[in-house]
Amino acid sequence: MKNWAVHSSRNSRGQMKIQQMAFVLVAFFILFSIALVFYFSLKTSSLKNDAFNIREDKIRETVQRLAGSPEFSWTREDCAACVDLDKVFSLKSREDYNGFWGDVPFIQVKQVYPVANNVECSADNYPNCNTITLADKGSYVSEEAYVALCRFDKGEKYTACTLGVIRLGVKK
Amino acid sequence: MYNYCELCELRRSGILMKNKGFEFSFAWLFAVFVGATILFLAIYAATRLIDTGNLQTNTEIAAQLDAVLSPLETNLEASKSYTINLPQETKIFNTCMEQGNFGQQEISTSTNSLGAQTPGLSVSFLNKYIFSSNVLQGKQMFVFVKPYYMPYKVADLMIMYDDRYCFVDAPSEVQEDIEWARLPKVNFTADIISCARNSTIVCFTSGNECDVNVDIRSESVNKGGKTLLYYGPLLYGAIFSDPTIYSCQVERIKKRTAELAQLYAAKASLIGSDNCAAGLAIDLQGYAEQIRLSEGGSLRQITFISKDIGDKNEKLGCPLF
Repeated sequence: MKNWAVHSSRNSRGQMKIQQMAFVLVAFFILFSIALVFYFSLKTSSLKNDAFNIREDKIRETVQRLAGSPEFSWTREDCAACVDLDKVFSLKSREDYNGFWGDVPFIQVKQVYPVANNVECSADNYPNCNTITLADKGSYVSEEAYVALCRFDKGEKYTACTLGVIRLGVKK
Repeated sequence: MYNYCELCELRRSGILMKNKGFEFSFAWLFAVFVGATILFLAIYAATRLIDTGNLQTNTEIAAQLDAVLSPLETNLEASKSYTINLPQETKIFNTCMEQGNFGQQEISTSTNSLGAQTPGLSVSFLNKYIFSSNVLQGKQMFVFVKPYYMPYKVADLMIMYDDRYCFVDAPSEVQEDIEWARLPKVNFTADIISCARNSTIVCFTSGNECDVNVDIRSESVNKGGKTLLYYGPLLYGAIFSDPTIYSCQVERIKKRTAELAQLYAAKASLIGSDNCAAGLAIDLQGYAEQIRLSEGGSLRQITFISKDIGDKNEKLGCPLF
């Protein structure tokens, strides 16, 4: 009777220890999961940063090259940073060019000098305006590059050039 | 309930099992189940992490290729060349699609990591025209950029290659172009025997042992059993790229030429007066229409129209381009 009681007591202790181990395992599993969630959230945010930096570099290069693209460039004279304002204004009404320069939320050409009132160009007021916006959607951070804006003045029949900027936006 | 003596009696008689038996309780079952789950999740997560890392690397390389290729576009230069050095052996997949107003250029890359080659997500652009084989492989890629005019500047042709080329009996203009750009792995020789082994042999006079045959008079390139017509610097695209890629890129270039023709026509209407470009607007609209009608057809007809428009533009009081 006494041996049976001792034997029974040892069995209970063993079972208690096994259950303790099971709880420890569960606790370890929960801790490990929390650590994993923390790690993946950090990794995802660094991935977002990398993607944003690559997009920003790309936009900076695109701004610098946009003046040289056939749709923007002034080709009558050898001028690397000259933009044909007449072509850019004509581009405003061409829907085929939507999305042509990638997923860029903001493209704008603006006259900086001579200083003029902020007026968006339209068929009614061109060329007596100073801003041509080709795309403007969503929130973005913009990059810009200085260029010469040239157009043909059909009244005076000569080429008029002013100082301007091309602005491109990158999604936040 | 049995007392101790009764239990001993039962054991002796073999009715009860011996004490040495192991009781597989619920706690043990639970512990084994949790342990197996943890092991499985850990192995699964490690595998997914490696795959995601590879995908991220390959996609970043493709995206960075765009950042590398953009500054190569010409402005006033006659041509440009560049060597792309990659951190490890990489496969670059060039895919060209004709659908849409400008078609589409797709690039994806694949690096050899732990013996597996997982291609990354493809990066696509509408304003690049890359002439190359379907797959390029290596740690170094060479890029040759030439502007393409018809008669206004349409685009920059980017020719990418990784192999050796041997040009046999090339005309002086071709030799000057390539030597001026200092293209690596391109040799010139008068005799096919002097060509290095494993190089692609490009003959400008007829020859049976040539991989590529160029006929300057008919402005055609024979490659892989296919005849490709070219105009101007498209010669290099025809030599260095796969025929399917070449045909697709030519169609894309034609589409962009048509769009630019309409843009110049709109500009002509904007600035036009009697002797200042208004007349050319109609010619440009006709040019755009002719290009659309020649879809899938040869370049020859539209090159005649483009030369005619170029001549008319030069005579205008306010030239458009």
